[in-house]
Parts: sequence; structure tokens; C-alpha cells
Amino acid sequence: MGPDDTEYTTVDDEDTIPADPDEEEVPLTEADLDDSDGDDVGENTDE
Amino acid sequence: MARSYPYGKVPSSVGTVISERFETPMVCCGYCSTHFAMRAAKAGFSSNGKLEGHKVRSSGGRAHNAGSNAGEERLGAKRAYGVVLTGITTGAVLARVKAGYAVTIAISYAKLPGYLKVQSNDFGHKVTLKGYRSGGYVGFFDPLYSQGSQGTWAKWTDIDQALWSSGHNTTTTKR
Repeated sequence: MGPDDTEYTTVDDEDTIPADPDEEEVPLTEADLDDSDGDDVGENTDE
Repeated sequence: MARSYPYGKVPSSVGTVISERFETPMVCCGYCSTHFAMRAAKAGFSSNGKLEGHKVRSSGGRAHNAGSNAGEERLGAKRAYGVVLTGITTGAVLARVKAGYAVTIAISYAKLPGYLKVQSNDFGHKVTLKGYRSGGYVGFFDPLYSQGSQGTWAKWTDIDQALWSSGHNTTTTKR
């Protein structure tokens, strides 16, 4: 297991823009579904 | 390199970042993003990627420090915590975000605009979108950001052009 270098950042709610209320949901159709794996993510070499 | 907020920060009520910066190498973007999506779908999760994020990894069948794919993320969330995530196409992402779902998305990191980046390299990356604001802005939560920090409002067109055709996307149920 690597080092625990977690950084905690104070949340600043003064600098925010509210989200809009949820829009009416449009159900997913068969054409919207894709249960494939995809290629791997996370091959991050920038240390 | 640091991100900036040309369109503002996402209110913390929408969510806060679950960071992958708790260990090196930083390769757990998929699990921390899945953790965020689970937290959006079901109460009771911590915000510590070392806990639920890593449990999803091991339950999905991936070794430590070795990345992930969307199928493993969905499988791990279901096996470890009973959270069912649905795999969707890139074309379905925006409508799900608008409807209030958290959606994990695969992106080509180098294609992101500078205001969202904290690194200059390129790799297949995973983040979560949650929250929508009129004008075409989505809440962008990147595990490369600091733990507990607010998301960045991002233009959907900036995200859409960076979606990784080789990766895949997952949407949650709403709590």
C-alpha cells in the first residue's frame, strides 16, 4: 500500500452556482445501453 | 498545474470529490468514480476511496495498482455493495446527467480543456458527472482533485469532445 498523502480541502460554498432542478427523466431505451467493458482506464504515468 | 473555475464551483450539496490521491501510483480513477456514483445512489457510504473504492476493485476482480475497466467497476459495485450500475452509450450521458443521475465517464485526459486539468500527460481516465446547470454546464468530479473538494462546472461541449471512444460509461440509480 502506498503512502497516505490524502489532501483535504475546505469546501467553500460561497463560490458556488446552484444546479438546476432535475429535468423530467427520459427512460433509457435499448439503444442507450452498452454493457461492454471498454479499455482500461487509470494508466496514469504522471507521478 | 492547477484547475480553475471559469464557470464556478459545484455546490457541495451535489457532491464532493472522492480522491485517488491517497496512494501512488494514482491509478484508481475508475474505483473512486464508481465510489462517487454509489454514494449518489445509496446512503451510508464513506467518502474514503481506500475503503469502498478498493472494495469495489477487489470484488470486481482487479489486482491492486492496475487500473480498471467499466465492466469490473459495475461488477464490483454489485458484488460488494449491491449497487446496480447500468452501462450506457456516450450518446445517453447528457440526458442522464440532466435527469439527476451520477454518470461515470471515460475520457482522453489530454483532450480536456486546461481549466479542468491538474496534469499535462495523456491516459484513459475516469471521472463522474453529477449536476446540471442551464446554459449547458455539468458538474465535473475528478479523482485527481483533492479529497473533499468541490466539483467544477464544465461546459458539456468541453466534456463531450473528450469522451474516450475506447472507454465506457456507467450511470447510477438516483437516491
